[in-house]
Parts: sequence; C-alpha cells; structure tokens
Amino acid sequence: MKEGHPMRRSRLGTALALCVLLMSVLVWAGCSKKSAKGVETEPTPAAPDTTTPPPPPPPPPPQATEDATAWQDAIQDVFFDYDKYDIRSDAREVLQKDASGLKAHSGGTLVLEGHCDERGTPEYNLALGQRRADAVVAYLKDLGVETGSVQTVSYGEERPFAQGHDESSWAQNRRVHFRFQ
Amino acid sequence: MAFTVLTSILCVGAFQVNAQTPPQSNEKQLTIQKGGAQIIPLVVEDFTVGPGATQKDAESVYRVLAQDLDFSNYFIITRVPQLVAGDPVAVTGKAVVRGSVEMAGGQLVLKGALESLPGRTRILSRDYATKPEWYRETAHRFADDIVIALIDRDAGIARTKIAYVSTKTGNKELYVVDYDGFGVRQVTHNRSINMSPAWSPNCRQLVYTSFKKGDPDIYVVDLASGVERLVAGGPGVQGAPNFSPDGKSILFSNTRGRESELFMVPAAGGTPRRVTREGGINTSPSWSPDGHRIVFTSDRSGTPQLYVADVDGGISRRLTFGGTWNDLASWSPTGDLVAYSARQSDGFRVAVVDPSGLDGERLVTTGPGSEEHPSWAPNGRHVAFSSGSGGRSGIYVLHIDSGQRRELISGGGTYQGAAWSGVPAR
Repeated sequence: MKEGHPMRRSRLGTALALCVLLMSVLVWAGCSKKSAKGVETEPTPAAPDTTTPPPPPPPPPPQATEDATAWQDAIQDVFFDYDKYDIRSDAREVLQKDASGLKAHSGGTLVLEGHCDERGTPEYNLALGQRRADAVVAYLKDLGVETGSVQTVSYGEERPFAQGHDESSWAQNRRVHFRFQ
Repeated sequence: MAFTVLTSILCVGAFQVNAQTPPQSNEKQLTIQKGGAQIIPLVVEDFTVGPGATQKDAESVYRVLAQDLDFSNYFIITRVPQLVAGDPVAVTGKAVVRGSVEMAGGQLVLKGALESLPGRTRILSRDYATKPEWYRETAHRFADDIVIALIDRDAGIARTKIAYVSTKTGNKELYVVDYDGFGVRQVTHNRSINMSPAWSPNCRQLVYTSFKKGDPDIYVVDLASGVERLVAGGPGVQGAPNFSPDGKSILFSNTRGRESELFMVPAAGGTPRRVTREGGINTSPSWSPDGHRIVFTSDRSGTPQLYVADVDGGISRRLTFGGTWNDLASWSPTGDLVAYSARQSDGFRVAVVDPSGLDGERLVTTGPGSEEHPSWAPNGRHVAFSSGSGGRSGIYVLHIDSGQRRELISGGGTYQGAAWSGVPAR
C-alpha cells in the first residue's frame, strides 16, 4: 500500500511543520495526551518513533493562569478500534472531560480531524475518518457542547501521527484530533 | 533461419479459430473468441526502409510495434528478416505483419500490412502518417489495427493511458503515463493531497479527489488545457469519484454527519442527487459497462464488502463474502468480471469475482506487498494496480488469463490509485 519511505518522510515533514506552527499559539494536543485508559492495545501517544525524524519538542507545562488558551492543553484526542467509528468506553470518559472544558471556555475555532491507520484503502479511510470526526461531534453535542461552529475534516490515512507499521503506531493513528485555530 | 520468440509462453492454450466465418471471407477469418488462454502464432517481418527514411527510423517504429504485440498477450511472435516460402513459420503462423517506413512531406509514414498464412491473403493494408517525433503513436495505431483485425471485440490497448498517484515530488500528485510506461506526465501541481483519479470515457478528462482547498472535494481536470473545475464540494468528504460510461454523470461518495452515501452529479455541474440509502459507510463506486448498475463498498455487514445495485435505486445485493475487507471494485468494461482489493493477512491482493455472483471470489495476485486499486483495460483482459512490494512501490499490469505481470512504473516515491483509460478516438 504505502511502504515508500520518501513519502513518509515528506508527509511527516508537513505534519511536523504544522505542529510546530500550531504550538506557537497552542499545545499540540496529540503530544501532550495521556494514554487513554482501559485499552490494552493503546500505546502511549508520545511513544518515540525510531524510523522518523525527531518529534517536535515536548509541549511546555500547562500555565493555566497565564495563558488564555491554556485550557485547550487539557483537551485530549480520542482513539478508535480498527475499522470502527463508534465511541469506545474509554473515549467516552475522555470526551466527558473534554466537554467540560469546551463548555467552560469559548474562543477559537475547534477543528476535529478524523484519522485512520494505514491498513485500509485510502478511499475508504477518507470516509471512515469523517465518520469518526462526526461521531465525536455528535457525542459532544449530546453532552451539551455547542457544536454549531465546530468544523470537521477527514485526513483518512494521509497524515498519520506515528510512522511505524505496527499495532502501536496504528492505534495512535486511529484517532480524532482536537485542533484549535 | 534465425528468429526470436519475443513472448514467453506462460499459458499454452488452443486458439479458437472462428469457424462460423465463411471461408470465402478473409476479413476476421482468424478471429478468435475472447476469454481463456489464447496464443496466436504471428510472424513479424523486419520493416523495410523507404524513401527519405533511415534504418534507425524503421527500427524505432518496429521496436514499439513488437512490444505492443507482446503486451497484447495474444501472440507468439516469430521475427524474420523476410518471410520466404519453405520457412516452417509460413505454415505454422496464422498471419504475417509487414511494414515499411518512409518520410514524406515532413511526416513519418508507416505502410503497414497484415496477411493471412499460409495463403498470404491481404487482411489489412494501411498507411499511418504522423510527425516523426510521434513514431510511437504510429506504431501503436498499427498494433491496434492488427488486434482489431484478428481478435473479436477487442479494439486494442496500445494507445491507452494509465493515471495514478505518486509522491515523487513529496506530495500526492496525479500523473498520466502511456500504457507501456512511456510519456510520464504530471497532471496536478497543487502540493496538496490528490487521489482517486478516474477517466472520462472520451479520455480527455480526469475526475479526482483533492485537498487543495483544505478538505476533500471533487474536481475535473481537462488534460489538454489543464483547466480544473470543482464538481462536488462543501463540508465533509466528497471522494472516490467515477464517470458514468456515457460521460454525463459522476458518481461519488459523500460522507458528512451520520451519512456516507453515494451521490450522482451531472458531469457538467449541477445538484447532486442521492443514489444509495444504506446507512454505514458507502464508497468507491464503479459502473457496469451498460451504465445501469454499480458495484461499491459498504460496511453494513460489519466489514467493508462489495455490493451490486441498480443505479436508479432498488435493493442492493452483496457480492463478496470472503475475508474481512473487500474494497475498490472495478467493473470490467466487457462486463464479465469485477476486480477489487481483497485484504489478506499481510496486505491487499487483487481479486476477481463474477458480478452475477455465480462464480466465486478468486485472488489473481500473490504479492509481495499490498496490491491495491485494480483498474481494467478497455479490453477487459488486463488490469493495472498499485503495489508497495517490498519497499518498491509501483504500478503494475496483470494479464488476467495468464497471470503474466509487468512493471509499468516504479521508484522515486510511492504509487497508488491506478486508473486505466478507455480507447481514445483517432
């Protein structure tokens, strides 16, 4: 499917550039997340990737009292099972905390990015990533979050967070990523 | 008498001479029926050098023609300088190809001829004139005419092209290449993510998915002018587009909110209308050659599987049952098979299934690497697909009957999304 490392490097380069840019105003949520609870296949999201250039520098520690967007650091990404777009039980707990943070603050546009691991086909994964993002929007709405201005985008398998070809990487890449812009 | 057999005989089968053809008619006398393994012994004489041309001119055209005949997978080719009486192949061969190349009025002219054996009755005689630098096109035209003359219901594939996605520049851009790997041309240059190319039936346009405005929308690009236009946009995913066989409509997948359904939009632009109401994820449609039915991927059973439905609505029927992920169907232009990507333990393989459901699912590639996105040649006998075999990602061409495969293009990045064009107008 996509074993070519040149593409991976370049894609990662794009992703890294994006991350660095975003961290100038906010913390890249994917770098600061704690591992979701209760799932044995869930890796530590910050697990090092030995096959790729070094990851972006670790995010600064939260300084909630000094930064108007610091609360966004506490918003965590959620993860999905292979070829699934229903919200896992561990993701429900994460989203309940996320919903509390989102309801208590305002400002900035929230973009939910749907991502998939590389094992499907690019076309199917585009749809799957969108279903994941939309499932998170629906869940947040059910929790009382004002979702009218929330945007979604599916990257399918095109912009993986982890570049490896094993379950630990795949599990990191089956996610909905919270991005504030 | 020295000769070279160009084609390796991977499948040896009896060729079926069309017995219904009246013997007094030389036209189509050698026509064979499609399907199964067929090898026609064909004699190809060296081309002669005509006025104004050089030996190199003649050899250049000849080499392309010989490769075209080889790539057709119809022939066992015997090359002779000139066929003389008494040569065994004058009896065992079914036809002889002759040609001369000359320059006239600034144009390269190939005078091509095809004669039946052993009687040497004229089957085809035609002059092909092009600019000298288009000598490949000249040879391709003659090769297609030979296939048209000898093979029932096959217009040849020597002038077809294949579109694909490559990361050669660092971004996923669309490319087009001749069916024999020559003439690579980059189509998109937007440094975004471009994917899922599919051809318009007249071979002048590609429809594809692009992230160039931030999220996946569907565009049509005119290959001659480079002009692009948005066909389906808006929030969510517009993906996996495909032209209808008449070129008037584009079918695509729209995923948004709780819906992921197939929609149809006029190719000239307009309001999309919904085609499926299935629930779950529905994507990657391919049309039957008559334009009445579609095969597509749906996860309603719990895993991605292929389904067949009338394009005007109605109940869809599940087509694949083996494995946990069957996807990216391509309905053969001849109607008899659907090729698709079937997930195995170590990646996808190309598989085929009878769209009637009467014949089971059958893998036609064996790896290594993940082999995806098959797309039929207009003859319904070859498929192009992408492979990431052992780190050497590329686009490959498979002859379904024999299993013979050749590399079309590889190296310099990863490849995916192969799409074979129809037969362009002359």
